Amino acid sequence: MAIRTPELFSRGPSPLARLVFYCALAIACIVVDYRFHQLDAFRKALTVLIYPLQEAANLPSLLIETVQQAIESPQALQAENDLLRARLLQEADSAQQFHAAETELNALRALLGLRQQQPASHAIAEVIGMARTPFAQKILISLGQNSGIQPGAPVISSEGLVGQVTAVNLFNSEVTLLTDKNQALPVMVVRNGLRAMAFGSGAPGTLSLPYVPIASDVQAGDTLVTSGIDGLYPPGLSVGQVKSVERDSSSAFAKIQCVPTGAVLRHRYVLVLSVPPRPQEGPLPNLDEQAPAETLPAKPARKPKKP
Amino acid sequence: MASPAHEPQILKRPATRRLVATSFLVAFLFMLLPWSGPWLLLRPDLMVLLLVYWTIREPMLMGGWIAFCLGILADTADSSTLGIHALGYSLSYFLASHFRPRILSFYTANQALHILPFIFASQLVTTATALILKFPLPDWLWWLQSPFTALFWLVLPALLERQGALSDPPRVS
Repeated sequence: MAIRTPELFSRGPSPLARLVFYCALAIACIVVDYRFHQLDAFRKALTVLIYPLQEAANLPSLLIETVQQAIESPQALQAENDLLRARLLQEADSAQQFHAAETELNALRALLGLRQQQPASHAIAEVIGMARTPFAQKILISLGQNSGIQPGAPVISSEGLVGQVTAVNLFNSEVTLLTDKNQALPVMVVRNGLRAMAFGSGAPGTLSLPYVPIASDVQAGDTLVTSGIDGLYPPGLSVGQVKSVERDSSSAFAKIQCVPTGAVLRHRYVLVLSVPPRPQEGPLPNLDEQAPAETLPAKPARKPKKP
Repeated sequence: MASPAHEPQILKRPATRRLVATSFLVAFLFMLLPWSGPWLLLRPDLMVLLLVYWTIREPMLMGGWIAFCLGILADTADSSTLGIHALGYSLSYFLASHFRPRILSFYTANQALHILPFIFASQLVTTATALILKFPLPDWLWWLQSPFTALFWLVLPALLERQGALSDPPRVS
């Protein structure tokens, strides 16, 4: 063991100067990462480095889960299986109708010379857990760059829209939930086709529609779906249900709170959709000739931020 | 920890680099556990606690750059903006090294009370930076994190200190 002799006279800069140096360095890091996103490659490399540790830290919860599954009674599994079969049968009807309608829609689009709707590819990802930051609503999923996940991709569950991929690491990705304060998405009221913007409230399980005029026809219980106007989220995905509408005559906008259907933390698996190709810029293509779709990935609707 | 001056002095063997590194690794693994909900807010920040502990106990082994690098690691683990924890940890390191002689003169329980402001300073700086970056303030439970972390100070000596043995002559650290 080496003997460490305390220094009687400290050399080098004073502790205060060192503190100022490291604080300045940290602030520079924050500015460069938050404002200019120049440290993404560095972060990715660090994430790969800590990946084995991350896996090791997940082992205890994985073990508990395995034990729980092992002691779960066969009856419960059978009941769950029956429930899923019944649900599959119920969904089969609407799925078949959907396929017929889609074929018909594409035939009509071809007649009118409009661009065909691209079938969205998707990947099933397992939810690893919640991101460990108290300042944002994020979850981690098990697919990353190695599975072709792109930043900005919409993520859905069996109940509805969950959120958007905001950071892609090599082996996993971060999904920012709709309820995050920095998330916004265009929605539509199913009942009357009214369009609005929904914003995350920062609190889990709440969305708000802050810019809906006071005279608009929105009622508690209305169902909201994505309107697809942003070109990122496919139209018609379930977003949530209006919980309360407060109309205050002192404000031009109604105070509308919604409960998200998909953006909650109880899913085991989610579906990552592909980022739709960016629509062509410039003058509108001639209706007589079919314009090939560009393959450029679309940018996320809002640049993801990290606390 | 060194005992108060009026107590019989028990000489402590200096901690090895390996012990320091292992303790940080365990703290980092603890940080990486799948925390969620209220537990995430209450999760004790063992990294900053150990940073303060080793800065007081083994100042020769610690340095500002270690605090900074630990902060960057914590930021990566928490998927937050790089630099937020580094800022807080640098401040905690400075406070711990500045008040080191004073802290050494207390009992362990008193020490826990006195290092609480150092840990809280880190949390406060982290929260303030997040607020400046327009992130929402977490639930009030968040503020219990520092006191909760300081409680772990009480068990640190039992885990990390080795008493000197006759066969291996102890040295004053």
